[in-house]
Amino acid sequence: MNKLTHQFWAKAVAVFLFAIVTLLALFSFAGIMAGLSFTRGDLAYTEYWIRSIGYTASISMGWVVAAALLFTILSIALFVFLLSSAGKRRGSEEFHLSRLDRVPFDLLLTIVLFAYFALFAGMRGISDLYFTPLSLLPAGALTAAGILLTLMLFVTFAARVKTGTLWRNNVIAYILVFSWRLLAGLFRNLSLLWKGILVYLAFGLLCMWLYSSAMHDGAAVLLFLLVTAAMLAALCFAALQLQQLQEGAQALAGGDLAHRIDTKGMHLDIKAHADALNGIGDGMRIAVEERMKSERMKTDLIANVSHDLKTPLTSIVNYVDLLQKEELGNDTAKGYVEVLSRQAQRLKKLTTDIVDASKASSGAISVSLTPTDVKEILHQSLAEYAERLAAADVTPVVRIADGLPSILADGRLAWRVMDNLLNNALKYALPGTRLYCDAAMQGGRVSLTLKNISREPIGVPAAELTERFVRGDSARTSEGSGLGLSIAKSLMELQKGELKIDADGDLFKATLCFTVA
Amino acid sequence: MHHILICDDDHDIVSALDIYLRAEGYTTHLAYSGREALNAVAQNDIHLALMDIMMPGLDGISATAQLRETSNIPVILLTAKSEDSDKVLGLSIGADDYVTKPFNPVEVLARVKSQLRRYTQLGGMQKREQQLVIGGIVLDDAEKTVTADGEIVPLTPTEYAILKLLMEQPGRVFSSAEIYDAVWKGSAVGMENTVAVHIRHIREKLEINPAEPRYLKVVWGHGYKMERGLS
Repeated sequence: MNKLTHQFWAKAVAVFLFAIVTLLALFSFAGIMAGLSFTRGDLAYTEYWIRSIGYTASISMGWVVAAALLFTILSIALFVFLLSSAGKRRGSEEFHLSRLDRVPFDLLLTIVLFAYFALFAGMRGISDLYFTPLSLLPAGALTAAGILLTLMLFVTFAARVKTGTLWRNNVIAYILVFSWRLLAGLFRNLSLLWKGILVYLAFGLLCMWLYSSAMHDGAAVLLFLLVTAAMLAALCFAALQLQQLQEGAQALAGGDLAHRIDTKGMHLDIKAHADALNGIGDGMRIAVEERMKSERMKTDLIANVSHDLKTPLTSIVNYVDLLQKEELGNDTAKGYVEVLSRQAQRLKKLTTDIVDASKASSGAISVSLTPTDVKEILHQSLAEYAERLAAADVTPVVRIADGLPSILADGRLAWRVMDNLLNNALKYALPGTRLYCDAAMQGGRVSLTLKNISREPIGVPAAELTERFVRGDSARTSEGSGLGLSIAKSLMELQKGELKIDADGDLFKATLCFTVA
Repeated sequence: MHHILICDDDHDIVSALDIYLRAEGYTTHLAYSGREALNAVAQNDIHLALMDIMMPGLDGISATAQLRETSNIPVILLTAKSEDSDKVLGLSIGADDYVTKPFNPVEVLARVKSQLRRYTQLGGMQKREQQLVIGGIVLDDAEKTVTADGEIVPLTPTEYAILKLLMEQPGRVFSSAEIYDAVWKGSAVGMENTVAVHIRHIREKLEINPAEPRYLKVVWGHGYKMERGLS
């Protein structure tokens, strides 16, 4: 910055010139006064040299007035320059505070006030002395000091206004702010109950005071009404914000973790609570994301592992099949190959089931829910199993309530659920019994119930049957992976439905609940 | 007899397929990478290729795509991935069929036969009047016969009527009730199950792998349809 207002030397010269010019202006005015006094004859009894000054001034009044005007204009110009340069510094666009500008303003004012008193006292002391032309020197010095002091006051005032520290940087302001913080801090740390009581007491006292003054003051009645209206407004404001908190909490509870409460305009406890709720939302969202990520990684891992399992399994299945076609000439060997074949098939089923189970539970399956006919899917599924059920001597009995609405389901997934349940019935139902398939409305949803009598006692609590690798027969001799019901349950959940398993003695009951379309 | 290329980076799988195919009388060519497969096709008169997808270097998808630039022989993909998207990708770059690992050798043989029949025998066949053709399935309403890849499929009159209904409007989903009304010309209680069972029988006769049908599809919870747009 090359501007004059930013140069230190320019300011120093300006201060020096200002002091001289202002002094000269004052002397010129004094000269005018002296000249006027002389013409009026007021100086008749004073000393000779004063009279001569008055005389000189009175005869060259034009020059004196011209000088006074000139010096005054110069003084004002320099004053304006100094005010505008206040707070400016070389090489910087911003305003800066000097050390003096940092002194609290009220303190500075007090000091300056005392300095003025001192200067006045000094002046009076000089004027009390025997007055000689030489005594003009100390008087001039004192006046110059007064001029500089005033200039300093104005310059620091300007700098404070420019930097916006005029009001803040005051001892009184510091005390006020400190006590406000202290009180606010005390209030903030009170329990909500005491806060409420305090606010109510303050309001009550104010009302009481206004009420008592209202006896003889009409304005107090108006004020009373205003205060009550303000209290009502504050209550409404608080209630609205509480409602916002409530909505936010409900959104969180409803699973909308992205919901944010707008804390703008909230204060104290309400703001703290809103921040806490937002924090809970953030924390839960992060936890859910982490969880989803790890589920996805698990699914990917299982998919990759099972993919790698499939290649050797292909060889095993193929070579076992080739072995079976060979003439082994030995019944024992044939029996062994038979076992190998069976177990290879089981391994094959297990690998596909594991991938399905992990995909179903992590939701890595695309689901398209469309209105679907529960009757149709039941018949289609039973048709797939018609021969196998007949072979297992299990008779399906279908009972469908009239006027069932369409269900919301993904047909492919619904079939997979039915597939698993019917496969279960096939494996575990007692021959010669019936498999009851009932479709009906139940609690606003369409329920599809499959009931059959178990061949073996069900050795596991019904609720545990849908866990992975849990099987009703503790011996685990029958084929199957133990994943069927777990997959079915996950698939039902993906379709916004539910799978419930009940076991009452030997009665096994699986209930599918579908949402109505 | 036909020449078949077997390509998989797993030697044991190649050997097993080799044994099965030679037992059926085919001449086999073995390759263990996509590059080798392309060379084998260039140097020999190959009629069909079995191609693994996951192979080091040039994978099965890219090899099939390159193969298609010069040849139109049937390609059956061997895939360990059961994702639908992989099947769609394989079929869209020019493969004719796919088998998922771990596969049943019988199914592989059936698919090889089916593809070869369509490639060698049905290639220039003219569609006659009163014939409904979808992919390798031909329904001749004059002779009242159905053939799959040239082989007669024995169907009962009811099954024939159902298949004809579905083939007349390929892609359209028929509900059990609609099929029943059209075929039995009347309604009765418990008919849905009858229709469903009939359809399953048709599927078992028509499809190589009835659990994973290519033509007669089950639209679960809605009905049945004949797949449209199969070459």
